[in-house]
Amino acid sequence: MSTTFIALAAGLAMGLAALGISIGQGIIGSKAMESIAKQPEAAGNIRTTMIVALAIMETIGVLTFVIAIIMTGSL
Amino acid sequence: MLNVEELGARIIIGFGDGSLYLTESTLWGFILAALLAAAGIWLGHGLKPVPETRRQLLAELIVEKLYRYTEENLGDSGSRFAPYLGTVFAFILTGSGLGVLGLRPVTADVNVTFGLALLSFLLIQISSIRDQGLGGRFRHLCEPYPFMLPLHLMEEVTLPVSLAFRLFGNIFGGVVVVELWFVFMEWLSSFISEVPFLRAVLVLPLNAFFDIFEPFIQTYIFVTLTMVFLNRAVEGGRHRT
Repeated sequence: MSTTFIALAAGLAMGLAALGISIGQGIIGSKAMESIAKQPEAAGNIRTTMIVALAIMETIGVLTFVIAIIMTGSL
Repeated sequence: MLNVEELGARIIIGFGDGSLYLTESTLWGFILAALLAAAGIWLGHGLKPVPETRRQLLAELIVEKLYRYTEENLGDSGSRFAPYLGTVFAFILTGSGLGVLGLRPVTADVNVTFGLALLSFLLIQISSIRDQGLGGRFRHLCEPYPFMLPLHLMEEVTLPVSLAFRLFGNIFGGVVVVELWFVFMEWLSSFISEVPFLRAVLVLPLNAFFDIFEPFIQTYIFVTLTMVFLNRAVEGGRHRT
């Protein structure tokens, strides 16, 4: 019984983290594209900043992934 | 099933009864540090006022880029931090990129990343106290209202923790994904033949992402975030005085 809940928790953790991150990254991407369209000459700078912002957000997903792996290990 | 107990760094060399030991990441960290130092000495020896060799041009290019990047983020007085930041950049980049050679990345060990983050933390605090004095630093933490002090203190402590876990999580996640991919490919190829031949080439895109692209991004983020917090801590007192 308890192992079922662990499996469920691992899946839920990963899925919920992915939900939040994907929404956030979508917002970042759309805003970055808007500003590149407004200021094409600053495209390089905007792209670098966008990648950094994306990667910082990505971290949460990766951490959740590690936690999910550890959870499935204790099944 | 993936064994979680085996995900840590392996112990390679044990001394005496085994209570004193070197793990994989410590050993490769030492070797990397020695290699980087040798490369730095090789690049930096026998410099001429007018560059004659390609070696000197390369060294000048690296140093110039590093100093320009630091001064962009930290102002003109920021160039004194450039040597440290450059060293950290080189170490994390090569340490995380070890996966290309099929080794375990040095930064996939939480002890290494916490050590690096602790260095950043000490650099920020010490240079901030040296620039503003102990009283100025304390006043800066009490901005804008004294009751914000606990929040500011918590923020200062959260920085190294988040830096360490970000770097560790990303690189370790990459290691785990590549490992899972190997298991999957072994299972797939077991339908066709005894030899797990599918493991051979199909892992290259994953390697390119997790061992080349990801280290660059994560190193850049580590150094940039250190710089942002350093800038805030050092500049904080200068605007008012």
